[in-house]
Amino acid sequence: MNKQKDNYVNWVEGNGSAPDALARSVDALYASGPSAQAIRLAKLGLQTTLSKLFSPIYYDRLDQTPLGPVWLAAGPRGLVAVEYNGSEESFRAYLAKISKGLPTRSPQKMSGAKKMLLAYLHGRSNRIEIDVDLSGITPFQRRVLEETRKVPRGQVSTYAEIARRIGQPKAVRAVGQALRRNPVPIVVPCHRVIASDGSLGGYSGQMRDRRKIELLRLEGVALA
Amino acid sequence: MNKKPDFESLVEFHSGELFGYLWRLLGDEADARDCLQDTFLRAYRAYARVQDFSHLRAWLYKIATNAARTQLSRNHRRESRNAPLLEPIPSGERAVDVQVAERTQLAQVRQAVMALPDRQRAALMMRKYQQLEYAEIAAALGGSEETARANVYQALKKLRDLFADEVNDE
Repeated sequence: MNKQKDNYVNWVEGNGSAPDALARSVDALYASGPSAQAIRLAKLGLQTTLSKLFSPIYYDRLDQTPLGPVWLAAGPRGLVAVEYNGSEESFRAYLAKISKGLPTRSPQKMSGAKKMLLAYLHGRSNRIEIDVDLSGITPFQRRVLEETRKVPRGQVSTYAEIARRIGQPKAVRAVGQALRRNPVPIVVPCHRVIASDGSLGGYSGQMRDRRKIELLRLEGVALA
Repeated sequence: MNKKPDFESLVEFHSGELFGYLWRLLGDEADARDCLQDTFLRAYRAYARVQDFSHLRAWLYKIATNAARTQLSRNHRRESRNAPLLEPIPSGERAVDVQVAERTQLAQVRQAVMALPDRQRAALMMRKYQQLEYAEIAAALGGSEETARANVYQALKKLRDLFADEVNDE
């Protein structure tokens, strides 16, 4: 019995092979561990979960625009936030809310997006070809914003029209809500969507209305 | 090691082995997968506060063991699952009844391992299949090295008592 115990000690300490049928069964069950496929799958899932923690967010301020200073921020998959007139503190606070990484101000990382946005705001280009990362919002909001992005410069659409195009014609109010929460205004041109009666609709507050009119005027749309 | 490694390299370095540990501890691939994510999320939240980074491996095992405990208590409320570790019986040279007998034996052993107290099963897996030192196991489970060693051998004793009849012949 003692000899047997020694064999077990050797086995468990890694100095000997399985001493009996029980030890062999334990080895059969656990020695080889998970399959390569299982490990790959587990690592993939882990990466997906952690990528949200690690994605760096860069941001910078765009000056000399017709709208005043514009803040913009991007992660690895594209633009995540655009805000005008706010302070750096409030913009950073907002970024901290939408991502767990620490936002870093980087004129260098943002230079491409800034150039494109500036060219657009000064009327030197008609489209803003910037990748937008809409993963932080609901699928419904995403559909609304993607549809809204198709409305070209110089034209307007209506909440009802967008609702119809995404196949939910009754969701007019929800479309208005989704556009009000647009995280990337200007780039996703929510200002080009107005109420069916031609009023600005949906938007609350004079400030927002004024910006909407400003942007539309910039694009050559005259509002009654 | 005189510089604290960044968290990403910790993931890179240890996620594979921790998945193996959780897979052995939980006996279920999907649970192990969930638990691995839980482990690194917990680790991420705590990492900024880690001062002594010479024992990061044991520290991660400690978190993984705790995450597994949470998972097991969650499972407890669910139906217990059965033997996903077993592969289908291949038709082949050996008689099927022999293979079935082996299979039954494996299922029983597996059940017995899962029925061990969590600490004992954890200690056994860490020592036998994860090749941790007793000092690391002690750090992961809390307590002394002697306790860690005792946990391993209590697990073995329990299994051997259960299967005394089958293993006596050798």
